[in-house]
Amino acid sequence: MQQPTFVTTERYQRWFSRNKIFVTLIILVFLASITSDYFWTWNNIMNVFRQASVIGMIALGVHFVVLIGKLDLSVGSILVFSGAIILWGQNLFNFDIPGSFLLGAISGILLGSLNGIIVTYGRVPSFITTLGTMFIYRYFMMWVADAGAISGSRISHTFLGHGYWLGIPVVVFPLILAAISAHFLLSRTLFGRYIYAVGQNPRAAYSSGANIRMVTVIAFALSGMAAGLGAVLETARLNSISTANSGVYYELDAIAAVVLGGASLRGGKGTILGTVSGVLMFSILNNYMNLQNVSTYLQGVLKGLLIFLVLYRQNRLREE
Amino acid sequence: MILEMKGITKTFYGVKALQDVSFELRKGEVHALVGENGAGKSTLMKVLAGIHVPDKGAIELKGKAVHIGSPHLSQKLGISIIHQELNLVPHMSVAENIFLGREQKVAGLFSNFKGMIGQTKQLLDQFGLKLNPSEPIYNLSIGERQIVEIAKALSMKSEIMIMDEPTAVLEESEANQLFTLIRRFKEQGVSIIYISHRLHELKGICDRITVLRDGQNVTTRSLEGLAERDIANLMVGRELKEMYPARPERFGDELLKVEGLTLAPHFEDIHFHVKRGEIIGFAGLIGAGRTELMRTLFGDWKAQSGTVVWKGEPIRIRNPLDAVKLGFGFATEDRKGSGLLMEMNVAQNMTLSNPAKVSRWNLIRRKSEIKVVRDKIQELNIKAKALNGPVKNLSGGNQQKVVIAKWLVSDSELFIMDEPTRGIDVGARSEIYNLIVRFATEGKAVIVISSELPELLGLCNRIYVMHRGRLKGEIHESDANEQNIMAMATGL
Repeated sequence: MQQPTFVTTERYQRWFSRNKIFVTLIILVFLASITSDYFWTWNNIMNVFRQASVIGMIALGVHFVVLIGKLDLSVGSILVFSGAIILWGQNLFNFDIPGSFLLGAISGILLGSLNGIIVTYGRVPSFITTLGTMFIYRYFMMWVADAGAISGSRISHTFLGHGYWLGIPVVVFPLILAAISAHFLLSRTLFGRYIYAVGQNPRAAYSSGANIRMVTVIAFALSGMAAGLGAVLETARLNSISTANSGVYYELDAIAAVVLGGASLRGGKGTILGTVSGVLMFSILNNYMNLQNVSTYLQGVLKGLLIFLVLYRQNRLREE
Repeated sequence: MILEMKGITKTFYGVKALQDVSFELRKGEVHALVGENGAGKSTLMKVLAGIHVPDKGAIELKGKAVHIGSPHLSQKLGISIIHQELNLVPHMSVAENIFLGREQKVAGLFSNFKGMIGQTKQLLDQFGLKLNPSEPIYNLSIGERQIVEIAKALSMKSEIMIMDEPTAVLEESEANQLFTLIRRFKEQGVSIIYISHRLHELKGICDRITVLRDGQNVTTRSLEGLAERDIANLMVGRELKEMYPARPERFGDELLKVEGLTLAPHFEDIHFHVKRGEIIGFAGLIGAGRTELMRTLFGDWKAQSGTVVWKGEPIRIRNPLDAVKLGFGFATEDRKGSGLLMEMNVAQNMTLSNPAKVSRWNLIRRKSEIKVVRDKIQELNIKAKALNGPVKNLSGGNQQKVVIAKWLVSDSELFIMDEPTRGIDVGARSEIYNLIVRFATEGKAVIVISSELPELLGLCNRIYVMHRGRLKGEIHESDANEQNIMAMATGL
């Protein structure tokens, strides 16, 4: 009897159909390169990556929440909350970069877990929960800081935010590391298996013995952690955080990138490569339009149109 | 001849779903359409319903050639389908559902509720149906909902009605009601195409039969002189051996004992036990509380009182995870909803309930996963082309085998099988029965819930009968027959 295997010819086709957005990204890069002299230069490409770093980090976390069919609107506010804590850590306790990462991660995990606990044990829909905590986290920090900005004091952070290593912006390295970890987590671990299972069919997953609550809380914790790590990058780039103005709309940018990357808001579908491609696509679009002197406001309009265009095509293909 | 389909051919991605199939329907005839899953029944009916356009072939309605390009057109031509999954809006009334999309208007704006209710009443009376037109759908039983669906088809003046496994979700009494209805339609000149896996019910209601196999018409003939066994053989194209294997005879220790389990109003004070090597059955009408009992036993719901004894020790099961760890396996009645992850692949589904077997330190070991899954595929004779294709592409029988494999991978000792052969074709059915008996002879225990009495009678060592949440009795295999089970199940 011929043994069934993981069929490889179909594998490539499936890879292409799953990673259409990645292919689209390559095409976009190609088009941008031939229509602009400056676009395809080392400096500019690195610029694209640097601009993508914060949203990219956040989107990687939101990706987990979207995979289980839920939403996290609080990540922009978590970024502010964690950012403030990171800077206080620097100012009051003289924490260096490792300390900042630790503080960012821990505060993010705590705030994210709180979201997850309310969603699972309180049985509040994630949209409502994180809409609520979006206000709570941000306004709490605004109240504490009197709606002002908090500035950092350590020069090493400027290196993280603006320095280069091997010709690559330092700030890009944490993003690459996080993306690889997230991919590994999703494709090689039991937790990843459960994330997809819960997202696709929570009832079947539960009946098979999956601990849905734990998976959900961890997904939100990861989302919070990513926002906290995003805060490290944000504070490193700006050396300050404004409780009123930092991180505004970041949650929507992150969700947009995840969805653009092919993830389904109904859950159970989406890859890290897709989400990273989604992030880079927005970043490239902004960069390119800046190079072509398109108004920032019009850029927002075009961003919205891009979402429509890509998702319209995706849904069309799915129905066929 | 009201309908003639000639030389219909339809290909999907290189696979011939229908190959030169001809089909005819007389006026006022009930025509059975049977075949294994994947034989092409649904595809043929979807061609008729305007969902698929055939590659080749012609359709004639009352002698006139027609092109059925859309479901809407099909409806206009007087063809309607009663789907297995009923398409009704739960929060609307019977009348509103019947006139959905064709509401009668007053002054072109407001719905004419009175008129619609009146017409619905007239329609229902015409066929002796006892339903209140203003009753919301969610208050109706599945059987009653089906009647609404049928009334909807009648209100559209359908001359051809396609019934896709109408009795799959019905209890015996409801099914009998449906059969009476079908005979009445016949008298009124409605032609019916009747699709069913339950061969024994065809005899009473159908005039002719068409058997499809592998996308081809094997035969169209009168049902007269055709035994159930003959039909089954025509469907699979080979001699079917005895459908049910010999029952297990050697029993071991008591594996599970349930005492006074209660979750009102679903079930109350349930006592039963099962030994190793034993197959027990649960009979009863829909709503008798059998599925609810099993879900509670499995930790899906919380019991109000009662004890569960497992291998001689009282245990508490708080959630399915506890049950799975103890060695329970639950093949639910609803594969799509709670059994399988349809978009995920065979391997991922099989290892879902016991991923520890194929992982170390929470990391999945691909090689050991492939090995485990290949073993099960071979052991259960699962026909899957690829390990990485989604399970939704498998036939019903193979999907059920994947569910069973999942519980084998998690080393289950007690298999709870809720409607184990629902939506599964004849060939795969006997394979499932063989598996059930094999598990029992290997020293596991099996609990079977089924609405099909022959299945319980053919498989089980003992049958418990439930009626309205209470245990009505226990019948040993040697005493069991359809009459005494039905008497208990209906509460006589």
